[in-house]
Amino acid sequence: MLSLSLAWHLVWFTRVTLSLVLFLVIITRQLHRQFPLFALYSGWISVAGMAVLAVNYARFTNGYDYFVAIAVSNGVEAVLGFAIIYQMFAERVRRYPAISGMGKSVFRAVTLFFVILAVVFAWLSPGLGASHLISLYSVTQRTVRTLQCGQLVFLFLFCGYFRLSWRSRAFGIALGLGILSSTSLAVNAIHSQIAAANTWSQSEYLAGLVNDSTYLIAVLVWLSYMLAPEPAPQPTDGPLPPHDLETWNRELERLLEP
Amino acid sequence: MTLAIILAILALSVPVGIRLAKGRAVAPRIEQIRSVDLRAFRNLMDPEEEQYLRRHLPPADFRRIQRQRLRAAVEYINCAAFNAAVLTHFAEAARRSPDPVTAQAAAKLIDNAIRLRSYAFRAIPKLYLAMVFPGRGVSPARVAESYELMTRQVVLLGLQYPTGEIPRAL
Repeated sequence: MLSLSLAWHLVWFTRVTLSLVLFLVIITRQLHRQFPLFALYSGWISVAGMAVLAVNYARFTNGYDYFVAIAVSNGVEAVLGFAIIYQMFAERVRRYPAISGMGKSVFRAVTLFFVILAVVFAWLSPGLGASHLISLYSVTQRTVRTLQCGQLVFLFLFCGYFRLSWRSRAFGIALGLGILSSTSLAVNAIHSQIAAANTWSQSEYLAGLVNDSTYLIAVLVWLSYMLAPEPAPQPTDGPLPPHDLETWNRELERLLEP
Repeated sequence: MTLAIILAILALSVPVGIRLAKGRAVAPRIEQIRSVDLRAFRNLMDPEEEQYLRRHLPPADFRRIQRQRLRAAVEYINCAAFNAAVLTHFAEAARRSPDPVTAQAAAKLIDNAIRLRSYAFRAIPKLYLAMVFPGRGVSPARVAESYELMTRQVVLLGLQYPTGEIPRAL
């Protein structure tokens, strides 16, 4: 039976390899023109993933170096994640002037609300960790995921309510980010409880395995959406009913009534 | 523990949101459009009508009837908002028309439909609040105006693009 540590490392290797494949698919299919920020994001997760792996196995690096590598990798990834979510939202509402301004204002208000919520969470429950740095990292990670989850929930509900059309690949990107941030937040919430009760290392391995497995699923989702052909827009959804001039005339007459 | 539960709920709301966004993308059918009587809606929202009822009915009866009227108004708004959602889907298809006039008419229709849903979103909580406090005046007149504007757009679109049964249903 595989040990937790070995299983985690296997998933980690696969995830990094597939991230690189995803980046190459985006470049070769010239999808970076359509989704520049996501191309940058996929490039970063593959390069940073390889760098963190190298730091983990290099003989001349220590635990602190590894921690710094992880923090930088996740920090840049979080910034790019926020930029992608905002760009996706702005892109969706741009074509609808009736809600463009209002939508952006509400998006900012929702972001502010979740920032305040995350700060309150951080105040009420400081992170658990072997050192102050790890605690700080854990709280920052939870804050980022809370904010991303809030923004994604708002994005999906807003587009769902106003029936704003999604292109298939854009939906795939949002779906992957949703899987990633929601699972990471749930793991963080559960891990904070387990870590308080049990030994540190075992729960840490388990959290790492679940997080990397989710990451792997998100990368697979992105890869499948990027490889699948974008369905051509359908002009109508079936045979059109014949022109009904009588109805139109009646309708026009009704509108012309004082 | 409480914090962990809150975070888990927030995390779970993401897949729920995804499901809702994806589920609503399913193509609606013209037959789903519901009839909305704008005159009746305007009557329900008429402040003079409300004043008349207030003057001529005992307070308890007025509150009961006003609640029923508001409930009916919510139904009308829900129907109009639903129709707007169906029309958005049809206009999205027409917007991709190679004919610029049709595409422009469709874009205007989408604009009005979205505006209507936006008004509806704001009007419904106000109506529910007015049900709790029946004396509090509300006038979501913009919903009626917006619905009329949207109906006009459907007719204009219908002159360039076959919208079939839609105008009759509206």
